Amino acid sequence: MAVLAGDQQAYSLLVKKYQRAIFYTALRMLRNPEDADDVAQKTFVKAYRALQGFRFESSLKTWLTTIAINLCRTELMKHKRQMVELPENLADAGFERQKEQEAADFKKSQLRSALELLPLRQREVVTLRIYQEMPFKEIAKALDSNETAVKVNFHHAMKSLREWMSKKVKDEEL
Amino acid sequence: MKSCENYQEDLPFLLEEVLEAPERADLQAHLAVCPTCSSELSAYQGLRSQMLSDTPSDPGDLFFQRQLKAIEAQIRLAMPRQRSVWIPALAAAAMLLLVFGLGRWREQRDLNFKQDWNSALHALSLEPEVPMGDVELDDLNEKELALFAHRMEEEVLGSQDETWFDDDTDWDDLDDGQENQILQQLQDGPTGRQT
Repeated sequence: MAVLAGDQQAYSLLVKKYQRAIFYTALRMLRNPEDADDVAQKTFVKAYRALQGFRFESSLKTWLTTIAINLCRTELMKHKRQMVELPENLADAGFERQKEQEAADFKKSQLRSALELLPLRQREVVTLRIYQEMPFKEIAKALDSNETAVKVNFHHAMKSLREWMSKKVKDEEL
Repeated sequence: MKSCENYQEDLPFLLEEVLEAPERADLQAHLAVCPTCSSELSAYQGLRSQMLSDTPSDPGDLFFQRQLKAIEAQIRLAMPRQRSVWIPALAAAAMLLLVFGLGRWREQRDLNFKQDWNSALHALSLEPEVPMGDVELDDLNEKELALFAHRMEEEVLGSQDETWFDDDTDWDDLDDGQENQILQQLQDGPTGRQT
């Protein structure tokens, strides 16, 4: 295979194909375009160096995503971004209403905040499932987990976010 | 019999279209008769739509082109340079040819020199019966040596081969080894006698 033989030109074609998906995955995880760009670049460089070890046991996209997710974790640890458990009672979260914003923008910013507050594994699962439309089986491979555990994490994440939305709707009604 | 709580746990997976057919049918049958769970499904649909609508702004093609170039540059820096095996091979071959060519050139030069020397000696031979191989430089007097040198010069200047000897070449430029080689050849006798 030309790419496995180290053909940089062929590899550039693969980069063009997947760079947007990898970048947006990193962006949703890190919420910082510069960091996401850095992770995306490192992902493809790392993948190129490890091409000889790619065993075709998963799709190339899944493999690249695995590398990117791991790099995102490292980045988050480096910056010591606190990931806390979403409190069961979101009324205790203390979100403040910002009247100047449009309702939709406000909801978006609150949704992003809620996503950032999810436990890291739940956030990874939701990001890969909702935004990358990755099958649960592939998510399990990417996260070095099993499909059941991935589905459990997804359920918990969506339930937490759903409860948050319910709380915000009630707050707006008041 | 499943509770609403159990059914609601499957709602996200219903939206993700990953439920098995029997589970999907059972859930849809329950939703048809349970407004609470039906409302909860709508809430999950709204959440999912809101998540999907929160798409980051596209940084544009130039951004990704720059990113690609940065990746390519990092790969070039990261990978060891793969030197072509042909370059050193060609260099070695060129060296061999050069050495061989030089050797052949020197052989031809020495041969030419010998021929010229023999020709000069022949020209100096005052007694044609004397075999060329018996002529020694020590046997020549000053006048004969001068004539010998003159005839040598004529022979060399008239030689078509100008590569090894030009007007600026001074015999003094010959190193000891070359002089000894010439003298040895003279001592051994002419091999390319010209008639």
